[in-house]
Amino acid sequence: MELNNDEIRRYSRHLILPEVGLAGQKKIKAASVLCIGAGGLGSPITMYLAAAGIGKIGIVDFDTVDYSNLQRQILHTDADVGRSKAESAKETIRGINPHCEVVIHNTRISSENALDLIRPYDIVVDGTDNFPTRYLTNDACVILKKPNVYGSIFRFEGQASVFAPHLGGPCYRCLYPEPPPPGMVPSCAEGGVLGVLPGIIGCIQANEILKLALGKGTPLIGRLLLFNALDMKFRELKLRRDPACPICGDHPTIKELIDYETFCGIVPEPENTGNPDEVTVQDMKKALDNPSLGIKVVDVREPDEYEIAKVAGVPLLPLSELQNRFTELDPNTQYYLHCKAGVRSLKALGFLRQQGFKYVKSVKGGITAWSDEIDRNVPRY
Amino acid sequence: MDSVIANGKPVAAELPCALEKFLLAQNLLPRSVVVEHNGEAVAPSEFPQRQVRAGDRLEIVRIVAGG
Repeated sequence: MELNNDEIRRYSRHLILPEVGLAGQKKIKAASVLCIGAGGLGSPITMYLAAAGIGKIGIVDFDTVDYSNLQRQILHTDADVGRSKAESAKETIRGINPHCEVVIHNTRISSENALDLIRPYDIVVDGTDNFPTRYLTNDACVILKKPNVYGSIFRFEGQASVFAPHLGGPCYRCLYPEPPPPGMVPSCAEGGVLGVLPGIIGCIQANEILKLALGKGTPLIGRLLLFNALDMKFRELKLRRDPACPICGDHPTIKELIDYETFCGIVPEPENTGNPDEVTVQDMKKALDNPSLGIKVVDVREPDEYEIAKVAGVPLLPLSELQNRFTELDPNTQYYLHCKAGVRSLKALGFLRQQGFKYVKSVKGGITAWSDEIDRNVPRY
Repeated sequence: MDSVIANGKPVAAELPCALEKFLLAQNLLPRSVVVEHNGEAVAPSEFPQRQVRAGDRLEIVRIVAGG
């Protein structure tokens, strides 16, 4: 692995660092990194790795650029909306550093292709946005003994770590053995994310990758770095490998890749015949019993009906007044709306969606179903 | 009621109790949080046995998946 004169000039600020030098820059050039996801995290990760001189960057993303991505996904520009993210990413990276080989995988990573995708690379970086892909990435990296540079973000908070059981550290499952039930943890699309946050967390991931490639410094193995953008504070939690971990523990039960959609409780589309805008009265009870979920229940019936029957702890905001009073609600909060039987709450949902409320659900069957299935003390009328 | 310091803030709980029970009482999913107890890493498989006492310090982080 040699550097030509152009490369020597390009990487001069690295070459004069005693910790990098010519030998270190050659290690960076010899390294190959697979980035899973070319979104918020994948943008700074791949752009900085390319600029720093990583020899080969693979990018896995099946998605296309959406207008709402541009607030944070700096790989893509206004003109890229509608294009393949992988192709748009390649163009940006090649523009930064033509010496970097970019391999794009315009496909969805799955149990069938993950091992073949990951095998040719030295280091994997997790820039995905969902639980099934995170568990899949983790398991494939544990099986193939590849370091998995982890980052994840939500609203104003981010996390980063390096998972490498083969180097003595824990894996993702040592921290989170099971995913939360579907819908319990909102995605960035549902809950929002500060645009600059993936920039900060992605840069931390890129930093850890360069250290791994160089073999310098103290890697973020066995530590979970946490960042809060509102407080502008970092903190760190110690992690340990769990001897009972199902994949990297002393007696692993997972020896090959599994069905991660099923593992994460995601029902395949054809079986999911219910209206996605609706939740059940059991879901409503869960929301009322667990305030920490951050889901608020609102009754959209009229005051006279509220006098007759109501569910304790549920405030009233009549559908007839919603047009003038919807500003009393927070468009970033999750709401479950209920009425008498579930028709008006769907209307209220439609209205709030138009006003920019993203995470609103209607309780199927309304207070009538509540009375039938949850609490018979609530009168039916 | 006794309390612990969780993420820097006092939280009342019936103590002593198992870490698993404490998490459930806080409406947290024990399989979806990372916990540091008095500055020590705790593996999830230890949650049911690990005893939390009054005045203990806990750092609790919830799982997020955004990217």
